Amino acid sequence: MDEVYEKVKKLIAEKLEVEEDKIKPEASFRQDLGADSLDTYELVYAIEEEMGITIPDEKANEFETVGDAVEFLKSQSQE
Amino acid sequence: MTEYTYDNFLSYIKSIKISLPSFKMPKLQIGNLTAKLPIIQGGMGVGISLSGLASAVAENGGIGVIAANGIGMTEPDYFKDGRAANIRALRKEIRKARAATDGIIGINIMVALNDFYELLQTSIEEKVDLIIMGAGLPVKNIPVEEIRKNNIKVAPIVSTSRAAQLIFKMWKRIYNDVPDAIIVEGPEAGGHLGVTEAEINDPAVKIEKVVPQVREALTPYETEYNRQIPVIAAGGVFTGEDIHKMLRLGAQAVQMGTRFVATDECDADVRFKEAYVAARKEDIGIIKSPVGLPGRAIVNGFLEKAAHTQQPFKCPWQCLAGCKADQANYCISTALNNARQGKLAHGFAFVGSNVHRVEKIVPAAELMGELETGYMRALFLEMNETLADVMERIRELKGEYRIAEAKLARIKADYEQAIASRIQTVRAGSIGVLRDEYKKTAARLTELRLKITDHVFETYSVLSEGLLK
Repeated sequence: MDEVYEKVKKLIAEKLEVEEDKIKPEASFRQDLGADSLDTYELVYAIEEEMGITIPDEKANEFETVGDAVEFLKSQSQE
Repeated sequence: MTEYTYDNFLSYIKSIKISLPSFKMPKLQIGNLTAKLPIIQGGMGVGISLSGLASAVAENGGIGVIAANGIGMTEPDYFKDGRAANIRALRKEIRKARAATDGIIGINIMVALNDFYELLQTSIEEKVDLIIMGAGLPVKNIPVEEIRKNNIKVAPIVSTSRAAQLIFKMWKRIYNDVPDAIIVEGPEAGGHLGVTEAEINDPAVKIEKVVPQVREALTPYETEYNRQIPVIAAGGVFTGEDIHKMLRLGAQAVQMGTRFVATDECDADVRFKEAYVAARKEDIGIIKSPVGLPGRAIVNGFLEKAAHTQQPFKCPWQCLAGCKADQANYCISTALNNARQGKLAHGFAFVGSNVHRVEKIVPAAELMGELETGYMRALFLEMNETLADVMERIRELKGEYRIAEAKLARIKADYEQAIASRIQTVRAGSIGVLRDEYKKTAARLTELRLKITDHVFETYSVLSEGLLK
């Protein structure tokens, strides 16, 4: 797996307090990883800090799965 | 020999002139901002709390709050340019309020508004006293430096201790600063709620539970930033007795909405206020608002229809970030604006859970007077309970004192008689025995007198501590 995915995975594990092997691209933040809106907020902020980018709130709200977030982050880093 | 009489003692106690502290409500201190009363009138949109209500509350010693959401709907061009109308109307209302009172004026700006930053900027330019931000986390891109330069105070609204901690943690990290106060809004509040529908009756989110948690969570920040951060309790606060209860839980003030709707000065149409007076308990319901949050409202014909059928509407300008206008059955801003104008067939009223207890529309000054009286009554009752014990002990000691006093007088009489008749023994025994007993009884009286004094001072400190806390 690539660098972006590994970074995100580490942050998710840390912020949502879940084991890394539970984090898969198809895992849903809310259903599978038990994240609520405050968790998501904190996670998005952590990703922004770690990667030095800004994620607009409306984009962040659209992230259903880990894959969605990674996809978005990749599209940002290519720009 | 000194006369240790109860009457002497009593006149001594009276001569100290203990003046009891008053039973007044404590002031609310937010930084260098002082409100005479610990009461914030909650911001209510659309257009329910504008300059009229806010200035009346501020004039009477509370903090008056203008609700910024949809404020431009009072302007003729809202549907053409909502953003511009909002900013213009907000500026106008702040200036009107300022002209009407020297009291404290705040603005409530929902974070979820799409023109949140513009409204925030306008409030800073107009140098309001306090900016209250709820319906989202006021964390990103807050112009903290500018806010500080203009000596404006900031108070986020949260429903959980976790959200409060998150906001403070993030502020510290991003701005190396923290908000000046925090409003904790429980599930009994009116309008959009900060909890999910399933959580509304969960004891864990009750205001009585969350206020002490938030109080505790913010203590480290108070130490670190060397300032007091008042916790303001909101949601379901109805009487002065409720205010007393919230302050006992560790809050420094309360925020109230519903009560202030039923005032002459409230900016809504009288039919809106009358709907509050008329509301029965069974009329109150939880609706799912088009912005995806639960909200407490008077469930009327409009809401019943709108629950399952599309009400024709045109979205003015996508004013709320979370609003899915294309899937909504009605426009919430338009519906609330209709209600504000008294057109309840085309709108509805958001209400707090105690709205059915509203009996009549009164001047704001009368309402605030009633709240003060209720607070004092509650404080007095509480003090009475605490003091009953001490009073009882004082009464017992007084009884004992009187007995000892009588005994002393008897011994004294015997002693004098013994001396006068110059005989070695009288009916109570030898002079030596009498002298000893006299000394013992006198010592006991002194002891009793000190005990009673202690209790009087204990009473005094219970009172003053209770009142000043």
